[in-house]
Amino acid sequence: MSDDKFDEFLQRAARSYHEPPATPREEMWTRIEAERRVRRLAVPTQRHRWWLTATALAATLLLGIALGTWMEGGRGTTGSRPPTVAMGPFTTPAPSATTPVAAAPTARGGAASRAPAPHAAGSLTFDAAAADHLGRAEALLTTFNTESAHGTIDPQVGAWAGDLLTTTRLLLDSPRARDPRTRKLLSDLEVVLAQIAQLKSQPDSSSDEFEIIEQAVRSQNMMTRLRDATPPGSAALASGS
Amino acid sequence: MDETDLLTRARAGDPAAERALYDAHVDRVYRLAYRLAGSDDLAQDFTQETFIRAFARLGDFRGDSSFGTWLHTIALSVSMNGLRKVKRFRTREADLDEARDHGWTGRRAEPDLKQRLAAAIDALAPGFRAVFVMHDVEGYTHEEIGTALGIQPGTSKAQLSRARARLREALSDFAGEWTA
Repeated sequence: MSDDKFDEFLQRAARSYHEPPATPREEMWTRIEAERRVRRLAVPTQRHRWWLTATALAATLLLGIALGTWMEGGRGTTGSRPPTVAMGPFTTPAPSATTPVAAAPTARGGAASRAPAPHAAGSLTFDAAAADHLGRAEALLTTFNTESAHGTIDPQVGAWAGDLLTTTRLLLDSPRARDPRTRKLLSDLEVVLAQIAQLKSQPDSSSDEFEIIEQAVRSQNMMTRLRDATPPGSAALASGS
Repeated sequence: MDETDLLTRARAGDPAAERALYDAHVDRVYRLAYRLAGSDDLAQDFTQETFIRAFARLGDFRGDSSFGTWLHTIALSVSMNGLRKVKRFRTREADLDEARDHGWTGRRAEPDLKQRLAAAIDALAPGFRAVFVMHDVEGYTHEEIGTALGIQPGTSKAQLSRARARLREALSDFAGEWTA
């Protein structure tokens, strides 16, 4: 018996497998419209989950305070600031007593040392905030990867992604976000974070959806790009914070 | 009207454009959902949920693939998740009285064979079953299957080959049907 004959036989015989009836178009469309109306009405109820909003606001506020503190510190100590080291697309100053962002200066890729010009304080601040943020994103994706391997995602991971999504948007909207590589990375990250954040409202999320997200992370080389853009240790610090 | 225009209008909340997109794709989505679920109720639920999610996430559709392919990705995800929950399709008996002739050129399949075939397909692992149903039953290409399932076309081919091998093994009693 040949494989070809069996394949032909199988394709013919399988046509009667779960043979669908005519599509009940109108019936389904009526239900779709009704269900969408119900879900639209349900949205304000979900928005009342104040703690999520409060967390997002707090994260935004903290970011603003951190940026302000950093800039103030930069103005007062420009002359005595220690040299910084370039790291991939970002340049992060060494931590000081007034530095709220945990980022150790470490040479990466053989980049040369250089001191920042006073007028570059805003860029440095943005770079530091972005590096810190990307470290947190790396920690989140690592956590997601670990949990999805076990088939379940803690709802807090979704909320965490939602918070990072807010910060990602803030960074993308910043006039300091001029570096094309940084912008591309933040844009790609935004999509992945949105997918993970979406899982929190879908308790039936399955390994297929996890796989789609993981594949997006893999195909875009996201982890490597995040690591390249993040000072060593930032992810660990971020996950522990 | 061009589908790109329909999508633009649907994103802006035009109900007529949403309905046009629904009309263009609902048959194929429903057929796939029914083939996988084997139940009209479940197939309708899955189809409805697919379109509800698709319309809600229309802003995320970037046009990297066709809208139909994107829609089938959602449909497969919804159907396979739903089936995991209910698992009713595994115990569903084929309604032999309503079995129709679907273009047999040779001998008609005996009821025993149809039942055995349906049971053997139901018993396939979800991934293999999805590939087999999409390719051999509904006529999707390996490229379409790969995109919808998030796998490579080569992986789809390999899974189809393994699915067929398992079905052949399960139907070995009926070898005369295809060697005749």
